Amino acid sequence: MIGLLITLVLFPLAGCVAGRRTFSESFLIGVGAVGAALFVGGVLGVPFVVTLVLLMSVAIARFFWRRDERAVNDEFPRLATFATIIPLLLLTFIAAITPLTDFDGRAFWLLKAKALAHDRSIDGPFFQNREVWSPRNQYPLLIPLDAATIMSLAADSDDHQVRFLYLGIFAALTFHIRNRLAKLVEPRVAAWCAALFVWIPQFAIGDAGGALTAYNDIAVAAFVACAFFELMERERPLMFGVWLAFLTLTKSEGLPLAIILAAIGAFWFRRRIAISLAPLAVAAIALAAWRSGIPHTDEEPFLSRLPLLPERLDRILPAIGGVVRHAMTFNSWGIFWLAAIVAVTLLATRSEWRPAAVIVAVAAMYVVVYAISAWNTDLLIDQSVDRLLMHIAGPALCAISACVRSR
Amino acid sequence: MTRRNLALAAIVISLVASTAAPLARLVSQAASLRKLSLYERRVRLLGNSYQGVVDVLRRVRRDEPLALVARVNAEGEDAVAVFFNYYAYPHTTWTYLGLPLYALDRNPHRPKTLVGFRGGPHLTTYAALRAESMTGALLDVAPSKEARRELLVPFVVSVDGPPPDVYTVEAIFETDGVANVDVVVYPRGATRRLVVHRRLVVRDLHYEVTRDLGLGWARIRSAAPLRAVFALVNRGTGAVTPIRIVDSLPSLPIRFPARPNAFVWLVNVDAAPLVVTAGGTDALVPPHGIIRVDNDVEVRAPRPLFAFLAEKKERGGTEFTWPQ
Repeated sequence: MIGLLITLVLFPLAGCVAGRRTFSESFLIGVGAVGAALFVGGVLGVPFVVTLVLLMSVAIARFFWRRDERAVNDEFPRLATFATIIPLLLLTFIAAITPLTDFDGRAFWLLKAKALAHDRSIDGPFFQNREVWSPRNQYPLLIPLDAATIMSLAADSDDHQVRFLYLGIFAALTFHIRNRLAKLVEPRVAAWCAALFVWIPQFAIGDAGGALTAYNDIAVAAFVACAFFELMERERPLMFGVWLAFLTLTKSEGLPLAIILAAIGAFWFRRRIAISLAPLAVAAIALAAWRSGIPHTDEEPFLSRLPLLPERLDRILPAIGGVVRHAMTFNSWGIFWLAAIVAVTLLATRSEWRPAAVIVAVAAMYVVVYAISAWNTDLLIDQSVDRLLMHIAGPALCAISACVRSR
Repeated sequence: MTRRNLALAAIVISLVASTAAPLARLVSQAASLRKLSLYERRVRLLGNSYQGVVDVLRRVRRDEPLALVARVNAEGEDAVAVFFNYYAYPHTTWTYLGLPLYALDRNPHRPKTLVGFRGGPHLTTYAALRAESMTGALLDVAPSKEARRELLVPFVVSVDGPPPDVYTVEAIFETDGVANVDVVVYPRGATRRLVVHRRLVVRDLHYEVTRDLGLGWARIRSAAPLRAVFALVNRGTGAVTPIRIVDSLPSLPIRFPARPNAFVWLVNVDAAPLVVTAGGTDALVPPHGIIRVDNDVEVRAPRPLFAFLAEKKERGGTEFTWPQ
């Protein structure tokens, strides 16, 4: 239970580095800030403990000095809140008892977390392949650094200490969606959208990417959703850029996702997009610098395969078909994506293009990746597309909520 | 209720419907695991793939590097090796996808302790993994019509050459009923009783008896008349070369036709050392020993022994020349 305690205290407190926010937003900022600070600090050779102490000092100072700027006083329907909390409590019960059994979480992400907790370095013996074979050695380290921090503070690198990090991100994203949709749409619809979000099978119980696994896709979904809400509100370009920076350091597809979001953001933020690009640039440079100093193992070099696209155009339609087939799989998504497609289309007819722009651009990127991959396209789609659909669930939910609000 | 509310309700209901049952199963599973220790929970869910890691780690020193050797053609074994790393970390491991990669690794720090993954992680040896990697027999000839109760096999080997050469001696035993067949492989003196129910195919006779790699000769005694055939097999190339069964030792001196590229193999079947003149020199063959000397056309010795020529051929084959 010490892992749960650390998770519930460390990240919301670290999130106060951006000022006092709602608990859910602070949690998500904290997850990003701790991982990103340790990563960038690591690239600069700053010891983890120094970075963490500095970050937490600033966060604690800001917690006391700057009062709440985003208090949520909305009244949400009790039934919706109840429907939101019940699955989260059940998932907490499961996570507290059932050991981790997923593939990527153990094989890639938490193995890195253990190494980070042990070596206290982002380019130490593990990442030089001198301790064990490190599959996907060049995967970004934001979430493993968060997990490593929990392990270090708990003085225990067993994965049961970090189960609540992933569940915590899911819960925080749920309540952040509720709070933001309450502002963007209306509290009643926001509450029910949060309730439906928490019941999406792929998020709640998906054995590849769900809240009970140690995959990083919920974190990507969270940072995309947070960036998207900044895009919708058009008030904080710096925060928009910070979310994009977190996204860049979370998964390999984070950087292209961030670039897509930044490109779309440029239409709404206009010149202020330059402010957003600063944190994104720092993250991208740090990631490139780190990757140049470690051996690459077994990740497919999609960028270098991009020139193959003209000769692989015949794969585009089957790839789109595969994505749609998975999106319509009832056991993974219910009728969520059916509703989302209808909602996005309706919004587009009302000249609200932002959800459509993000969903279509990101989906198009993934379809292109499927087309140029050296893998068997069907196999790759079967293994990954549900996780990739998670990344754009936030904008989809925003579209659904906008369509079902009262006039 | 407006149409919008109905739409929202339909989405929520569809999601609750698809999540509720699996979620309930997970809750039930968690409840059933609640009173177990973390180790027991993992064993319950992950089985041998976890239990084996713990067992291996209990048996080795913390600073002893491990070679994790996963079979390439065994589905999922590479993943079990990855998860071994996960649970064993920070124990130092070197992962090899396939035994040949381990064999070819000339790094002086290559771990000497091997972990195999067939049936779950376990400590093993190179020889055992090599035996595990073999499937099917290449020897496809009928045993001799002549039945024996005692025989010598002058060359029994289980060694690897440069890739892809993997040498074994395959044997086929046939009896009319059930027979206990005692095989002694020299010079080690390792013994194994094989029980032959009418027919028994042995892929790697040396390993089956010694549980190790090596080279020697075999004395075989059977409780019932036994028909047998033996062959040197290169499993890497598929080359199969029959090996002569020895009923009696040849008279001295032993003469061979001139074969400039062949080596002379000398087999001392006695428990006393033997000085043999062959290959232009006097060679000492240890008790129950087998040695190789340079090419010669004549082998002389103070008492009987067995000798034969062996010559490497193309594509991993071998040509034997037996004494007349």
